[in-house]
Amino acid sequence: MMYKLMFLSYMASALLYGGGIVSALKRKETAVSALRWFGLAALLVGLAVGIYVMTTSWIDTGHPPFQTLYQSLIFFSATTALVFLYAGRRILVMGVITAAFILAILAYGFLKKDVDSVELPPALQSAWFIPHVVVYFLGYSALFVSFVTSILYLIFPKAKELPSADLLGLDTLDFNVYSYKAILFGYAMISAGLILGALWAKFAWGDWWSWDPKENWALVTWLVYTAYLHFRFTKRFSKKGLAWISIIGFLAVMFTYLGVNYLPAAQEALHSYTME
Amino acid sequence: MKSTKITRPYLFSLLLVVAMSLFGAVAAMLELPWLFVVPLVGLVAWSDTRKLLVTFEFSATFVVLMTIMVILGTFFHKSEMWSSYWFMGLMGLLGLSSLLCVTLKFNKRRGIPYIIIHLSIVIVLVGSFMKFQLKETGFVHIQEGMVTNQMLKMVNGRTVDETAELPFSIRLNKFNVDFYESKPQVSIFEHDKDRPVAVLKMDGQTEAKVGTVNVKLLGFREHPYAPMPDHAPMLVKMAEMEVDGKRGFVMEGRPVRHKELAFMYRETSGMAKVYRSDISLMDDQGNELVRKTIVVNDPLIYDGWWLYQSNWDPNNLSYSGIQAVRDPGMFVVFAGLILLALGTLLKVRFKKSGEEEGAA
Repeated sequence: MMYKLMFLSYMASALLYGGGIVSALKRKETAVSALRWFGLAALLVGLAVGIYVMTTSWIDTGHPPFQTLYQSLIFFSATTALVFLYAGRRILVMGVITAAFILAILAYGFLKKDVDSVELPPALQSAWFIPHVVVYFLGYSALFVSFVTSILYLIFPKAKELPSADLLGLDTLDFNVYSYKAILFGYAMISAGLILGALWAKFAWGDWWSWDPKENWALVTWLVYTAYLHFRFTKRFSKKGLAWISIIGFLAVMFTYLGVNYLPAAQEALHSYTME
Repeated sequence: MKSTKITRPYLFSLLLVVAMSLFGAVAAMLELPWLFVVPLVGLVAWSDTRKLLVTFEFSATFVVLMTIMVILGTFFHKSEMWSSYWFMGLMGLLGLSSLLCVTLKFNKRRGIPYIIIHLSIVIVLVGSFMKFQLKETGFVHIQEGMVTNQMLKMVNGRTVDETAELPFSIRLNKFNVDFYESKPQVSIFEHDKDRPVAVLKMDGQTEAKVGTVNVKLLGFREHPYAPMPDHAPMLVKMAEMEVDGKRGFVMEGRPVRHKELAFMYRETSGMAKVYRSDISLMDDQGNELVRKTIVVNDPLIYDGWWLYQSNWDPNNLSYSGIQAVRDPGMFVVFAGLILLALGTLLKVRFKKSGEEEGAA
């Protein structure tokens, strides 16, 4: 019931932001600002319902709602909405894409829905659990923003010169710089997640690094964005090339998050808590 | 790149990294692993390569190659790879390049966060190298009341058939396990799926609509039941259900079918919630040095040794598995990681306050 409400709110948000784009192209200024506000309101409703779902789950089970894939997908949808609110709410295109991405996350979550609550194993009973997960998902959401803006940069290298750029929220915007800023924040977050994970691992498993598949892919992700930053600082590397690295980086993020469990090596991995 | 003669930095960096790992592999084959230091010295001595090592072109190339290597590592799943000398040689190259970034670029335009981040990489690598050289790990199998200083050695996370002695003895005073409460529930399956489509229990979901079937859990009870007319009745656990308006029972061990669904009475397994060992460390004379109750995520730390609650045996509740680790490089690594966090934070802050890009 709540899940349906959340899904419908984000769907409404995507449609309203989409309507905003159409109105902007037709130069209907009042319609644009109205649709922008309604799109934002629908997104906030979706976020509020998500927070309600997580809070009730936390109260019911007595532990943070980050344990199963299903729970983490709901949390990921919420951090993605939050990062959009902070960084992208002026840009109508980001509104449509963010809401659509959240819908995809929630649809996947619906397929992986928990039919039963799961008890928290001893390994996850730790003060490191919450910060480790929270910074990672904030980072993933920021890197999603950089992924989208990189694609948009490849399609519209000169966003400022697009028709109705002022109404679309693109008049002061360079997708390439925007993407870079999102990466700086996302990179700080995944660095923090990696460091917190290393410290936690020392207290839980006896070693701060074990070359576990999840660890390896978290490192791969971190390295791709490290490469992005170094290429950027050479100043001679093409902006299109940077956009491509950012796209590859987010694919690595998604593989780290969702794909690692399907690796054959993951069967004996330390990080397997939600295998099915 | 103004002052070096190297005109194709990416290609040269690529060749350098490949040559370095080949050299490390050959040196390891000749059982002269320490030879990997020689080319590193050469790279510092020659001014052109020294200058190349601090360029973003070199570091970007190195990072790309390392990414590819880690990806290959996850597919081949060779844990020995990360403790081989050719890998060590590459890490030496990374450390050298980072160190040169800190020393040669000090006071130049690249800024404080840049220095901190690259210094932190050097420190983490030094700590990792100390771990590689000095780390001792073992596994202690122990029973309540037992005292032992013997551990099975561990290599790459697995025990090997070789024992070692701890510098103290461990006495297991008491071991116990708390379980999550075991509760009755009814799992509902669709016939072609091995995962239940719904789980009903009294303190959770009690009603469900599965496909076209309306299901309601009314309660659990124990009921006398005689399997044969001439048998004495026995108490059977069962769930009382209402399915499509009709009342019925689902007994323990007897799944009930209705249309495309199967209903099964189950009790949750009562998974371990906490397992804990009350242990004392003793010297040769049998004096108690320290005592603590360890649980997962809360080890006992004594004299450089970390003792972890690692395992238990459901069939023998007086047994405890304890992992012992000594890694003198750990504090170096921790210091490096904290510095890395600080540097990254400063870097992002500097950027947000409007600094133009360029100076890393």
